[in-house]
Order: sequence, then structure tokens, then C-alpha cells
Amino acid sequence: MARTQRVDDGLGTPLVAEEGGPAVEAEGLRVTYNGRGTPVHAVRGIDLQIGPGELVGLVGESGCGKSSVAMALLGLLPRETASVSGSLRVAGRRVLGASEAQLRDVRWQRAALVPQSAMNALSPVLRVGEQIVDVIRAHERISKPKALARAVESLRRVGLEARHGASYPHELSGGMRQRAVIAMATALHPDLLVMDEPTTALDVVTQQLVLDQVQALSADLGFAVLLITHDLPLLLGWAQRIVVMYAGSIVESGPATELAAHPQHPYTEMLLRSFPPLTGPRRELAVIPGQPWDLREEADQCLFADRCPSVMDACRTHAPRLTAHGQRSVACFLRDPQS
Amino acid sequence: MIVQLESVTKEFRSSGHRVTALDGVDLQLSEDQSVALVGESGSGKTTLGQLLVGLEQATTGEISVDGSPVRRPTDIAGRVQMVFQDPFASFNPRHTIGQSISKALSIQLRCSAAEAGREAVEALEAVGLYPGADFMARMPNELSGGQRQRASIARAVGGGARLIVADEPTSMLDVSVASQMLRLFRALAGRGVSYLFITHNLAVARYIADRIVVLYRGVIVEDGPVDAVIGHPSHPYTRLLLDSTPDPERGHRARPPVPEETTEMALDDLSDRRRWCVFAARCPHRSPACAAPVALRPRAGGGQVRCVLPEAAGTAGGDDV
Repeated sequence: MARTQRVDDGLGTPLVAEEGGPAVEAEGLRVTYNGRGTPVHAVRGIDLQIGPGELVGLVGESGCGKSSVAMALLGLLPRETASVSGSLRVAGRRVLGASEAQLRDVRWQRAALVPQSAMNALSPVLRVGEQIVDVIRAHERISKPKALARAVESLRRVGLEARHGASYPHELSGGMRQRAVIAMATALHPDLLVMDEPTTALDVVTQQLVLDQVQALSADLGFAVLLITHDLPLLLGWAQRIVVMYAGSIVESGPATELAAHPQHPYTEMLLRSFPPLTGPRRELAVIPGQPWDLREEADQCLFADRCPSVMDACRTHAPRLTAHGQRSVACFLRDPQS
Repeated sequence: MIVQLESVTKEFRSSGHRVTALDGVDLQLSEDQSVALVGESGSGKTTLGQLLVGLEQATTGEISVDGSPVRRPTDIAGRVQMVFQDPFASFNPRHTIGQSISKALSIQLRCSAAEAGREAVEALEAVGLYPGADFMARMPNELSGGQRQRASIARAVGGGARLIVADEPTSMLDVSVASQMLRLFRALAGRGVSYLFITHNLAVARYIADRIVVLYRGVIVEDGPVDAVIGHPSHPYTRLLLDSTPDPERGHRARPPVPEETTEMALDDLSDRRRWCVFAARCPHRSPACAAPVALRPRAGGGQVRCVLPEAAGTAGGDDV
């Protein structure tokens, strides 16, 4: 049953968003932090499309802009210090320039966030179930008992029980708290779940349990997932598509298996080889020389040029654009001398 | 034998009840060995590291370093050193790197401040911080995360320690810095110093260690040469860890679903370690034969395993990963 509704795109033309439309449509998305001192260009005009129900991994190191993308998707960047430009729609709803009321409609119901260190994202003084009830009742006119039934249902979906809902966060293990946060984030059936480094504090077994759970939930409820991590191997066998960011730009994106087997950007290749393999021949780990790009600097060049083993003259005078080749895209003159 | 643990048990009291972090651990670490201690959160691996450096004391059992028993933390002084997880929290922010390292080295080497300073410069250069004298004068906040972790390795290695305990030394670092640290550890290994790496990542263990010790609920369940343990895991728990470890080489190969300890099992007495194998509650191969504590026995390919399954001890070869 297709759910259709009228959506105001803010340009005076009411659009009709249909279920099954893209979860994310970002074009030329920029995030610049204007604190004290020189502005920091954290996200430098990225295009990102996430299809309905698609599992996408966004990977990169500290300072590559991946968390800023997450915050921008949910309209969570502080207006005073962060200027966001470009165009951005989440589940058909405009996020940039949206009013607080419009953003409230996006958050939780269209897109929900599982934040970094989600294990500690719950209020310590409220029972887990009450916190989920609060989220549901903030967005829907529904009685407390009915909201509680919904909360228990969403806890069940992540393998927790009613009695866990009656517990305080400190009474649950780290893995259980993580799942409770996922239950909360999915209680309102969002179209997109954004997970920012959701498993970094968990050990490998719990990590896989959480990822299995999210994959199954996504298949069940049909939401798309953007999983943000620095752990590229973690995404293999989980994500359908991987997007690699460096210094605020997408340098490569493509189907996970192809990207891992044949990385096209030198950064992706070095990143992959920075992780020791568990199987196959032992090999020396890659070391990416030099320092990451200073995000205060703007330059018309490839921002990875100084660290790149395959750098050419063109890399220092022009910025390569992300260019699509079938399902894959890469921003590198090695693959695409024309760009 | 650099370090020997005999029936070491460590209990903590937590809101009225006792928690057994380590339960009768026997372990020997010999010279020039790099050992990875792996297990999940709560397996007791961090507690074991803390006992070795004297940050915690065993409830019962004996620990000896270089043949002499450890009774007080001072008995260890300088012989076992630790590299901590968080490079940002492991230096006094108000002291220069030089002050912090020289102070530690003067205690470890029982030498004058001037001598410790010279040793500190050498140690900094040994971990790749050139020129060492420059780094001596810097404050911790003037160093990147990777440089700080290098400096903390210099502090641990520079004083002639016999054993370095590194508790998840790369898990807080960025990928490109972590790979440098792993390369550094591997380059430092086998120079008369032993390493105990505490990690939950078996791929990291495979890269830096030559022996793997698997800990589950405070008990060693498998212990053996790295290739034997990873190539032919004998204990069902080791297999679970392997299946859960992200592998850059795995590519499109499907990962088997992770079995989960169900609530009813946890409430059942399957988790009673005096009546069942310590892994019984989660084991896919549980049988009535597991209804008793299981002893370690030799495994194919060297080492030991704590499992009653006939294929655990195995014939040479075993099955695939």
C-alpha cells in the first residue's frame, strides 16, 4: 500500500512524495564551520543518493567530514556556527532551510540517528521503555498504554523483551543498551537510519550481532541505513554500497564487493591495505605518509595529492571531480584524465 | 620464562555479589614472545594485563616475574611496563614529553636524571620520533595522537622492561596511524622483550603476535601458535570470534550469523561454571558431555584447548576456517 502525502518543497510547488522514493538526495552539500578564526570547510560539495532500503557505508578517517554529513542529514548542525548549503532532501522532505517544525517532522519519523557512543545515549534516570514512549508521543497523538505497546513491539524487534523496557539503562549490558537505542530510533518507522560509529565501543561479537540486527530490521521495515565508520572491513559483507570520504569530499563510491576487490582511488586502496588481513597471505600494512589536509585550507587541487604515491602534475593544479562509470564513481585523474 | 601465572584468580565485589574476572589462569610467557590475549568485553583480558603490571592484585594464585614472586606492585618495578589505550590520557598535560619519559626511565633504570634524559632521547628515536631532543621539549598537546602513542611506547620500552603489556593500543587511533603503530610493534618485537597485546581483533593479533591466548569468562579456552589457532580454531568460541572479525580479504564471502546467548539460557544453570563447561550457554555443539568443568588438553598444531569435542583436539589438519 503506497503511502502518498503532500510535501512542501519550499518553492511554492507542492510535491507528492511517494513511499519508495530515495531516502537521501543530496547535491552540492557543503558544511562550513564558522567558529572563531578561519572557517573550517568540513564538507566540500558532495552528491549523495541513497535508495529506499539501501544499506550504505560511509567510511573515512577523523576529520573527513563523515559525521558532519550525518548531522546535516538530520538538520542537527547548529545554525549559529555551521553554514550548510546545497540541496538536501531526506525521504522527499527538504532539510536545508526547513523550519524547526518541519525538521521535527523529518527527525525520528523520516530519519533517525543512532549517535556515536549510543550505549551512553539513553537518559540514566528514566526506564528504557518510558524513553521510547516519550519519543513516540512527541510525534503522534496516541495514548500512553498504546505508545507503551508500540515501544515493547520495537524492543521485541531488536531481540529485547518487555522487562528490558522496564529496566534502567545501567541495568542492561552495553550491547543491550545499543539495541535499545536502535529500538528507539526505529520505533516510528523512519525511512532512513543514520548510525554514526555505532559499534566502535563494542567487541567484535557484539558488533556483528548489532549489524545483523540492523540488516534484518531494514529488510523487515524497509528503511535505508547510512552507517558511518572508520572501519572499512566492518562494512564488507554488510553494506551494499560504500562511499569513501577524504578531506570533505567523496573520493570514491561503488558496490561494496567491487570497491573492496578493485579500489580505484589510491586513498581507498591504501585505506584497505592499512588493515591486517585475517585470511590469505600476510602482507605489510600500508602507511599513508604525511598529514591529513588542513580543513581550513581551500585549494584548486586534489586534496590527497601530497600523500598520494601516484601523484601527477595535474593533481596539483586541478581538483578532480567525482565521475560516474556505471555503478562506480571515482574522483581521480588516474581513472579519468578528462575530469 | 619471563612471566609465570599459576592458578590466578581475581574476584571483584560489585553491588554485593562477587564477580569472577579470572578463574584459575595458568600462563607462561617466555622470552622474545609476542602473545595476543583475545576475548570479548568482560572476558578478563584487561584484568589479566593489570595484574601483570601490578595495577591490580590477584585474589589467589601466584604471579612471578623473572622467577621471583610478585607480592607488591614495587616487585615489578621496571620489569613489566604498560602501553595504554588512550594516548591522550597517558601523559601529564603539564609536563613536557621529556619530563614524563625521563622520570619514568629514571625509576625503571634506577639512574640519574641526566642519564635518564639521554636514554629518553634514544628511546624516542627508536620509536621513530626524530630528532628525539625536539620531542623532549614538547608538551603532550603539541603531539598528534600517533606521536603520543609512539612516545608512550618509548616510555614503556626505554627502561629495559622484560615484558610490555599493551591494552588495545590501536583501538582509539585513526586507521592510518593504527597501521603505523602495528608496524612499529612488529619491528620492535623480538629484541629481548616480550609483548602481551590485549585485543578483541584477531586480524590484529595475527599481524603482531606469534601466539594467541583466547580468554572466555576469565578462563583460557584455547592457546596456541597464531597460524594454528586462526587457520584451524579448535574451540567453538575461537571460531565465533573468527567469524565475527571483519576481514579486508573477505570480500563478498557471506559471514555466518552470530549465535546469541538467549535469555532463557542465561537464566538456566548452563552458565554455572562449576557444573558446565564455561562456554556451554552459547555453544552450538553443547552435549551432556559438557556438564562438568572442562580441562585444557593438547590441540593439533600445538598449544591447548578446553573442549570435549573429539575434533577439538583433532588430527593434524582439522577443518577449514
